[in-house]
Amino acid sequence: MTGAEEIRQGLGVSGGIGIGRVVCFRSRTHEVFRIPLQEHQVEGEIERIRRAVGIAHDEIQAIRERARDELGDELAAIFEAHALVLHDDLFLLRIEERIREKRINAEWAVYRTAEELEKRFAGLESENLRARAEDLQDVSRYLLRSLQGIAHHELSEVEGDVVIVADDLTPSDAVRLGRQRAVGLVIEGGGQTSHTTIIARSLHLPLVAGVSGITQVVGDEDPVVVDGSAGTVTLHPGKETLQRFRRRQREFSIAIASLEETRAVPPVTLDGERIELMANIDLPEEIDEAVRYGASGVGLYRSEFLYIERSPELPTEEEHLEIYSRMIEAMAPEPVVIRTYDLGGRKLARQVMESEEDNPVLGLRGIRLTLARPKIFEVQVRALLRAGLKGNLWILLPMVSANDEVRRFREFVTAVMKGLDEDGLEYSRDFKLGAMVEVPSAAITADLLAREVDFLSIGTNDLIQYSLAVDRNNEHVSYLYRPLHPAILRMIRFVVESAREAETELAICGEMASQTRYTPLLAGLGVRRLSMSPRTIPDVKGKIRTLEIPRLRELAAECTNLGSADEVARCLESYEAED
Amino acid sequence: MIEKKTRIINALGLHARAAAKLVHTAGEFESDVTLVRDGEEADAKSILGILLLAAAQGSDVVVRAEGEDEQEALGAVIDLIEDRFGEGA
Repeated sequence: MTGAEEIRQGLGVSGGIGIGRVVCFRSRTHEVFRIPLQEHQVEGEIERIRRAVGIAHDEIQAIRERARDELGDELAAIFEAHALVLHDDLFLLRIEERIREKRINAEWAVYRTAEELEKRFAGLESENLRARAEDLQDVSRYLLRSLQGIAHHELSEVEGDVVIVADDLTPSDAVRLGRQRAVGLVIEGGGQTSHTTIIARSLHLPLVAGVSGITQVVGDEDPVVVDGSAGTVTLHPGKETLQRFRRRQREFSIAIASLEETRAVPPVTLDGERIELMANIDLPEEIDEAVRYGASGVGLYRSEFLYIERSPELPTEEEHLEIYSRMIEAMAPEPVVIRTYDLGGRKLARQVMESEEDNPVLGLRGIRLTLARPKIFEVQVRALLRAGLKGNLWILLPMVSANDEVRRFREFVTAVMKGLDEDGLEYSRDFKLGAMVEVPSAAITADLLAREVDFLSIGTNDLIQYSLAVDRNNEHVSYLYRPLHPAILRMIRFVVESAREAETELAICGEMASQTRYTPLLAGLGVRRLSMSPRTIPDVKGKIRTLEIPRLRELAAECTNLGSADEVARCLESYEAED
Repeated sequence: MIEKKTRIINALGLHARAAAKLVHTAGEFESDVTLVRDGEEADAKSILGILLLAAAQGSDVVVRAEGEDEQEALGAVIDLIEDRFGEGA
């Protein structure tokens, strides 16, 4: 099969390069037919389903053990539930009953029974419980595959490296495929794949999501390259393209190999100064990844994702509680910084706000919205305080522009505690309260703000946009988005000094924290806590271990006296060129 | 047949992990163990049944056991619920 080189763009959600030949899973749903049986065939059919259960059982156990060894307990729990569902009387007995009563084939009985149970789950109020229907779907697929003799290990008999192209893959697919010949995954979907993504990353398996229509254009055995970092899928790669990707693949595997070594190494400069590296995460399951990359705590959990997932409804207190508790417990005694809701009302849910805002970026969002809608956000705060019992909770308030917002939030917390007392619920009083420094007014009054809170966290992305009046997504002005602008450096310097004087913790959690070219400057400005995407921790750590603080102080002093971002950039370049 | 009333007091209610623990505990006994909430019954050895009960924190439930080792089974399940499924406070 030949064809011209063709590149499809998707979303790279798990990094790395995979070079191989396509195996296409055209549809995740099996073709299931209703086949009536003769009476004498019924017992044979029961035998068949029992054998299939045995095969599925062994497979689930194997995946579960692999998940536990390679991914940790948190993710292995997904597969633990599968084993229980497989043997559940509500499922299995009902399937056998159906075969006997209706005299139908096992496939149809599995399909109908799962469908019936899924409907009952769909009627439940709790989102967490509703989501358990996924376990049921996953288990049904195991059973159907076993019944139809499509054993999963067939894939291992395919010659050479395989790139799986599918409309969607479940977490268990990812575990299974990652340990066979698969070197890359491409899926059309991209919405509900979060667990799959996390598992693919854990296995260092490149995954590109959201490539719509890809299953229609590829053919089995087509040569293909998956670049999970750039989010591209290259069909029929030419010779030069292949060479280029092979080179990048080698670089990537060297970086992965050094990961294990760097995790154990402390983030300490040559002269012994420690810089804490924490993880920014969006999903509770990323905790495992954070630990694996050596994070000392979660520096930023953005709670908006919980709301977005649930929109247009609001998450319940129990849903908040479960997610917060899991993260805090898994990280204890290291801190977990949970940021309260940081979007505008329109993104949240219909019931919060219906009015349009001309300029939502300067509108009712973050802490402003929280204080304006106490009835709604009481739910989040109650769950936070209750989850605080599980470990080391730091609550972070977004979009703070003045001290009185922190004071009003404290009053709000006091009222929430009273409500919890009345309900006889236990909660933590022993948590830290902090403010994001991302609005210029907060940066300029950082000395005052530092007295109100237990910690400050500089969100550089928004601070730069608000300070320089630049929308970085607007192509006409995005060139003005300059992290090294003297105004930004001076603000960071002032916030760091203010925090030190007030003996308040300080962290940086914007993109600047994750880019090694800024690390020397930030360290020189006195920053001792950085929070970033888990995967960037090893790089930043490696950088820190080459630094010497006295030299960096000089560098920072020099940079903050320069007149433009370009001059600062040149100054940093010449520092890097030093020995 | 013996039964006892209790209340789900762990913070998360009968969610996935608590339900899994309950199934494991009930499964150690020969007796049939049933959970009743608002007149709805669920086999304590069925994770799907327990999840479908949707018993959140504060739900009143009756635990019922019937069989040779009903005393032990009832005791073990009640202990687990009252111990908040080992989730701590």
